[in-house]
Amino acid sequence: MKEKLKQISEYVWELDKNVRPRMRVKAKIIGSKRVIEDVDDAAVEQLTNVACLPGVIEPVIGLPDMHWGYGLPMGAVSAFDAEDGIISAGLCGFDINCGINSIRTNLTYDEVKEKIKELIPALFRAVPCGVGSRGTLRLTPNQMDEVMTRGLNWAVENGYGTKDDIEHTEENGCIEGADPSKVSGLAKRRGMPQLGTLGAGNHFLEIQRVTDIFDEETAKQGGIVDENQILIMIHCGSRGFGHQVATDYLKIQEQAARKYNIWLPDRQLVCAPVKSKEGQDYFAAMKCAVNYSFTNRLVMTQWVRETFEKVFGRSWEDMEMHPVYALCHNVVNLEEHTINGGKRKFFVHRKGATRAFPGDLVLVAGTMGTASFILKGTEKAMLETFGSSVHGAGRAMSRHAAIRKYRGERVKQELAQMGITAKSTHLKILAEEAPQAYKDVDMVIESVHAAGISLKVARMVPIGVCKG
Amino acid sequence: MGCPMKNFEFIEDLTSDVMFKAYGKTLEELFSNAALALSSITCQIGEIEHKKVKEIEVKGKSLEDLMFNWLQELIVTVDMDNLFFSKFEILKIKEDGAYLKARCYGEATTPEKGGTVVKSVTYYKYELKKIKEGYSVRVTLDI
Repeated sequence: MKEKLKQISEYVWELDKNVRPRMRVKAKIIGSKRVIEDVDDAAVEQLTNVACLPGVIEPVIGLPDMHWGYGLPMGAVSAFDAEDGIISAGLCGFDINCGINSIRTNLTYDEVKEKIKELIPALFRAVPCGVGSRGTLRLTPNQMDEVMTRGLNWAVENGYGTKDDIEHTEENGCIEGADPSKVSGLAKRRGMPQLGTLGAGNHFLEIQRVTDIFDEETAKQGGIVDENQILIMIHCGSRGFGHQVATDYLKIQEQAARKYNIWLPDRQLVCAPVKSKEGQDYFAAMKCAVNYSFTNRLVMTQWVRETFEKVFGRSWEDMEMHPVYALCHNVVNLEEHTINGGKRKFFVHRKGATRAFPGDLVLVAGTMGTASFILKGTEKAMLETFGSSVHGAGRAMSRHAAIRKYRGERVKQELAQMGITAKSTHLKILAEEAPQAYKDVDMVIESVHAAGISLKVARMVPIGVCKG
Repeated sequence: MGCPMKNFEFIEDLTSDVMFKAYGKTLEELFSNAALALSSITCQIGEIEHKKVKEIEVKGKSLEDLMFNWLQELIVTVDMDNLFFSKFEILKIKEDGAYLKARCYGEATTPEKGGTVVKSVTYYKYELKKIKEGYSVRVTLDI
């Protein structure tokens, strides 16, 4: 399928709707020539599958970090008409509201470097991680309902974070319309003991040093003023709760697709009409997972602040550990977009993609050994990508290939040589997540910046990493 | 070929997820081997001792559906009961896929013996079939 991509401009590539039967709209990929050379053919084909679904709005978008994913690539955006389109549990993915929080400090690299050997193990103790990890919070069923419906408002009332955190979170950390009655008992039972846990895999907690500030004014608004300033990044999702909501609705929507006679080019793209019960129920349940996940990351953020207090002997307010921004990158949102001069409402499905409206900050996670970035959204993103940008580097190598090729011990030593202290529950995860198993994040960022769908604000590199 | 059938093998097909194929001369072996393949992702299976036992019952509409539900149940058990398993005995299985009862042996989860979080079983290239030597199943896990 890749050979059918037509280059439209230096960073925009298109697939016509006649490249295969039943496509309703074009697909478009944003990226440099090198990005396109690296993209797998199967991922490109997945974009064309989505272009066959009812009510899809032109174009289906692949971003420069795209790689093969379940049904749709990670790093993809698809929008559906709010009247006659579909809502899809498959297009949102299993880790609903997987996302990133960035917290700043007024500490310098030198101050933190001295304490990093003490700080990383302390963070590792404070933030539970690993497979099957449980938090110290054990929610009651009523508290679970509150988290699902009120998100960060619940967190702040219970001593996790402040109003400032709410104001610096996408959707103010509480998306309206979450309905716990649409969530299975099993999903709730999985969620109750896991609030305040990091999980495993590509999720992490990282201490970062600012290396470059590209846009001083925007950086300053986020409280980033100096190179060598220390930031903290948390990348995590809705844990077993979100996975169960997704799994439950994949089954429900598989039946719905049959019931409403929706032709699926791929069984994984299960979906239901926007106005159907199966579509709306999923939307209301997904919102519960979105609110849970925002809360999960803020609870951990507060534990990070408390850990810094213990290690540095100062209050977190004194260290100005305020939020830069918090966002999600796996979500379905009902949004208004301008198309052909008119405003219309769409259900925008972002999978491994970040909202990048003008005024939004975009947080992009690198790997344990490479840079992360803060970008800002643009008007161009509104025109080109339904206001969306990248979420990370994107994997380039399978986990098994990485385990065979790299040894955890060696990865840890190499990171140490780069000045990065890494701690994980076990060494295998360091091999699986070796920086070389990912795409070159700088290449991904150059593509979005040059394409103008988001612009560089600041670049950070890790100095300490906690991994499940 | 003359060589003994493998229990399971991982297939290098996906950059972000995990695909395996499991085999069995009987349905009991197939379901046990698929569970072992899954466990070898969620935990360091060689280090898991048989300290705890849990019986699991699963229902299905077909053999494929039963396998899907069985693996999904094991994923949930990691979160709900905090158990890693390293041995599975299939006590009862109906050939039409309506029901399975298994005894699972393992120990309480500890981060040091963990692997990677498996989010779900998926339908990507999912296939359970009868082969000359017995049965095989191909499973993709979202991780």
